[in-house]
Amino acid sequence: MSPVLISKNDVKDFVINLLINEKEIDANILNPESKLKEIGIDSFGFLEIIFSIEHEFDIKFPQEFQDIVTLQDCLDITYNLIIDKNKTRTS
Amino acid sequence: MHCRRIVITGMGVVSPLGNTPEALAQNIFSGKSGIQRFEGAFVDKLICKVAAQAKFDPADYFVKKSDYAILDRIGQMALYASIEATKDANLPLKQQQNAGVYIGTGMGGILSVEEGYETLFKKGENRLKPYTVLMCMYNSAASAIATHFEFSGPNLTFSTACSSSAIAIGQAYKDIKLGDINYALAGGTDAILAYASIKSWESIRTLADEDPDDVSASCKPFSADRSGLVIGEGAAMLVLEELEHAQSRGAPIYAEIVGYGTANDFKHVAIPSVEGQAATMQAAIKNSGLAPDAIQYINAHGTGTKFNDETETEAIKQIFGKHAYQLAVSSTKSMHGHLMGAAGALEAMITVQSLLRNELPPTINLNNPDPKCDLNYVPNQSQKIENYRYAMSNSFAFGGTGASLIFKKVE
Repeated sequence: MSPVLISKNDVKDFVINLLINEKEIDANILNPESKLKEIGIDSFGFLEIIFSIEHEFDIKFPQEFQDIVTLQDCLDITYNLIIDKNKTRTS
Repeated sequence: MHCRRIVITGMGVVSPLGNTPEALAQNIFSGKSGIQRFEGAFVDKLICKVAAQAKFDPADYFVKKSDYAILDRIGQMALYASIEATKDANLPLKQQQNAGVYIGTGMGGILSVEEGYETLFKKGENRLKPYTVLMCMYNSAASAIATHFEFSGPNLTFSTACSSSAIAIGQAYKDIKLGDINYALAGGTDAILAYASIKSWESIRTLADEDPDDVSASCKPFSADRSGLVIGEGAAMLVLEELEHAQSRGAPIYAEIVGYGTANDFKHVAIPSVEGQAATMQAAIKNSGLAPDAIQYINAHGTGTKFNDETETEAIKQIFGKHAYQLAVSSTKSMHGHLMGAAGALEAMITVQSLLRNELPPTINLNNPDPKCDLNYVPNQSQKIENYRYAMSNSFAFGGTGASLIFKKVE
């Protein structure tokens, strides 16, 4: 089976929608360098975001995620996990 | 020692008869039933398709989704009722006070438990959403309330089945009386209309048969044709406050709590005994220092099961003697169903409203007298009462823990 092609923009749209609609974050304060803690995402809120992202893209975040500080960090790791998954499936 | 007196200064409710104390009172005292055909995905699989559901969509009652999305239905209902009770009492919404939260719940976050099992066992997924633990735990509602109001005092949850919230109110009353705190939010919440929990109630054959002519008349406490209880859901919260504290800030005062007693009905885990129920009422009367004939009205546990109603009638006769035939007894469960862990608090609220209105709430659907139930049950219509001062509310439970509360009209 060929992997579903997901672009960086697809990931970005999904995560930003999640932040705006599920977490009620003001769209005006969102930018890639936004620190998740500073826009009101606490550690449990972050777990919920990961839960939704994992579900949407069928990926698994690592157990440790201290490195994910900004929105961009979150988008990067999501995209990389999708690439890794697709590599595994095609190899 | 100066004797601290405890009064009720705020009330909030989510119930099958409305989500304000005013709507509740209007329905209760006009004898209206909130019991109807159960609305749920699995209704076809139920033997008993009757329930008293609360019309409560949290999206209509909270400003933001994040205010309620991480709460089980018990937490949503109890938090909303607490916010309303706090407004009613003219207390600030963020308090940072040494105040307490005392909540009773019989089955905790059972809807969330069921949702979790459905995800794993039925849908075959292999993980659960992050808030699952915090939604299932029994203290989820109390914690949501204490966190919301920033209370630093006792944050306590009581689970004694159907007496849970009467116990919660009683224990709050004791702690305020002792001087540990000056006020508390106390009450109960339960939302057990999940498939597995209804099935488990069906299996002990205590649920009412559906009335063939009128679904809303299916619960018939003290009537010879009673066939069981109807499961309800909701939350009822009271602000309990030390009298001088309430007076100093000009709070509304709805009634005084003057007695609380609890006793264990140890003979059987589920079959009530006259001795156990009588001991509970006796404990409350002793605590109040009143003579038994001071009690003018009893809001009965009155589930509508054969066993409870005749046992409770006999226990009332044992405690009150001849006065049992002078006082009035009613079961408002005939209208709002059995709110399980929230029942005691809802019925305490109705008892307070009874004192405020000089009016006794009826037992509806009482059309066939049972010779074993021969007291004044305020059949079918409310009754006005003069020189009204003291009323009692009874709660009994599977497991044995009984609780009676005695309220005094504000002079």
